[in-house]
Amino acid sequence: MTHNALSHPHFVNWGYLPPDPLLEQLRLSIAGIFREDADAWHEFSEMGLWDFCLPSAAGGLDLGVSAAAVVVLEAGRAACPLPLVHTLTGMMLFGEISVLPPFARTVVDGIREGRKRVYFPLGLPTTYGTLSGTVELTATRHDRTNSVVMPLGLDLLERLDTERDQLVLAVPVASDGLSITILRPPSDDTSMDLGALNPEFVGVSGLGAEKRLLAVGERTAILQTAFLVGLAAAAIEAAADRVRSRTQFGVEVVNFQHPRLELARAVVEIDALTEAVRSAAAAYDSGTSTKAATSGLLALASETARRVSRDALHLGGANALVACNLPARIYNLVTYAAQGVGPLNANWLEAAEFL
Amino acid sequence: MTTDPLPFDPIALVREQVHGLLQAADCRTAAADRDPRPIHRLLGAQQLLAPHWPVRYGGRDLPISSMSAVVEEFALHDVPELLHTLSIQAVGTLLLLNGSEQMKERVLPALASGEAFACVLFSETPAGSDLSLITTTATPIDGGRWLISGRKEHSLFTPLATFGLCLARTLDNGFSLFLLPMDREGIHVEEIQALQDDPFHSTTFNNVIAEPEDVVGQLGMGWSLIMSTLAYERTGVDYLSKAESWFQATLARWDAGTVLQDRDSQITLARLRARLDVAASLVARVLYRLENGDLREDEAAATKWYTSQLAVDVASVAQEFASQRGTLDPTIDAARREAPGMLISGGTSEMMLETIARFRLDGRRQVMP
Repeated sequence: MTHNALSHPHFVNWGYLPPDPLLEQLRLSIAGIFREDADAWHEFSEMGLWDFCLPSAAGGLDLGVSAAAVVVLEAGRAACPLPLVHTLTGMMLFGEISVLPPFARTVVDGIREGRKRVYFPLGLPTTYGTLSGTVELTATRHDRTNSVVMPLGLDLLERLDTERDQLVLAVPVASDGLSITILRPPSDDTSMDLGALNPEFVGVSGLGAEKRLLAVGERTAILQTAFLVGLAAAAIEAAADRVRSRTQFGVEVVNFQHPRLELARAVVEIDALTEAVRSAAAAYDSGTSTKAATSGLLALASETARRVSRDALHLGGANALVACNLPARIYNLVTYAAQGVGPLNANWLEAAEFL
Repeated sequence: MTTDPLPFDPIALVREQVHGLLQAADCRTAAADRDPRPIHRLLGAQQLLAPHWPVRYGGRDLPISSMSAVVEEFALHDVPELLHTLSIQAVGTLLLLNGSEQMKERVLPALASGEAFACVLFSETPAGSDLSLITTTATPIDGGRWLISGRKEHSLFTPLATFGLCLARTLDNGFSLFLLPMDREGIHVEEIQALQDDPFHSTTFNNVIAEPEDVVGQLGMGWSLIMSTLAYERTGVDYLSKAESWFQATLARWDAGTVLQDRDSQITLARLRARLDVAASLVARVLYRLENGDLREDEAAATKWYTSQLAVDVASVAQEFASQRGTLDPTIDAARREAPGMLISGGTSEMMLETIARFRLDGRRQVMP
């Protein structure tokens, strides 16, 4: 609290928090790791990434969401397809459960040792801890041996005979009888078949689950925003490489005004979002963030990253459409990451909570 | 039980004092007459017009963000803020950094107290974004004096200005800056009605004599001084303050239930709110750089582009919401007419993007370092 006793609804925050030198050092190290190895899972485990956001009471490093956001943003810039935000969210959820069931403890140990990864096939919880359940994902695309899915959702209500419609589960992908194919909105007939699901995989359910989802939602939103911003930055770099190296009609494409200014515009927007996500993470860590502002930032990042990655495809020409080439891969990653937090309009409506 | 005292926040204190003064002042008349000079004097008497300037020049030696709070309060009280932008932020800052000690002592306290005002006289008819096309000349005469001839266009608040910062060609086609008293013989100002409330002006220099002490900085270095001045005009503080105040006016309509409260409207407002928050991050960064003497041209251009585009979008939404009852809100209508000029003044949007492209795309360096 300060001297400001005015009661205006909103003042601009003119204060700037310069980058923390330690976080900047972390950023450079992470960038270095990605230059060496695109699948740097073990390096992340060795540096204790999964414990960054956990309080020391839960065995975590208590570095706050700021440090994790730095890592995730660099992962985006490296177009890293690994489920970093999913796994960090999984760890945060486990961190919210005071007494972990035996299976969950095994999962946590596996994550810390770099043997297990977490996926949320129904999508990550949103800022307010809600779930959209509209993600389309096939579990068989992932490593079936070392992965864990965390199906959080509404559609398991009847099968588990719980009183509430939310629950947190951790299920080994290789479980007998489990097959996850295409998931539809909860109101539809879901095709998720958990078969002989073992109740021991249920971490927490009902009201307790809602509480935990709410507790992690904002941090997840900040991390997913950072990932989307990083991916969009990667799209810009890829497009810039292309327009700088390609000559058409005797002129480097970068010198044609339309692509030049279009790319400059993307640079500004992603630069601005990079600053904003850093501020949002710092605000969360200092307890001054608001869920509506975080939702707004996520929605804006999602909308902008989709447009920037789409424009990067255009600037890259037909070459960018080759599936294994970087612009196409980034375009897909942005789409999955954006859809992973629900439909854009739902994100915006969450952001409109301030009204 | 003892409690820790509240941390002293001088910027919040500046805001509180400015807010109090503006609440009691006749801001309505200042807005109607497009003459904020009485407001400047009111704040200047309390060292609140340029609180970030050194005490000896009429400031309070506070961080530059204190100035932002002043501009924001101007916008919230509908006080025309452009005279502040020109006098304090553009001309005043340029003198602070580049003027001789004699010039600073002569001009800055007068600007900070609201007893003097300044305008910028750069643009000419053929020279819009490309200032290298200017034809106004300064010819040397006896005793280190100069004879200035030419015509400047599209300046604002010119009749209210005590000083005009004029760019002219000097020897060897170099550019030099002159700070001229606007009542000097040979200067003629003509008003040109504009779309926005504040009219443009055309200023003719007919063999105007400039004294040696009117030269700002080093002779022939006007171009680099201009570049730094333009960067100071591109902090985005004024654009963001305006955008925020227009957004708040729109929210007030929402709260009053006078606009259609459907899903699309909610999303529109949420999107603007998010962009305003993101814009604040950019503006805060530029202010931080300024404070630390590390202003970067591309970051200033990015901030100007982002905040001015946003202000235009906010004005457009505000106008759309205000028109739902079929009535014309004078404040919102003024915003609608003012906003397009924001994409031109202080450097066009295209020039801002070109600056960013020059810094970030040319060469082989990383685009997003």
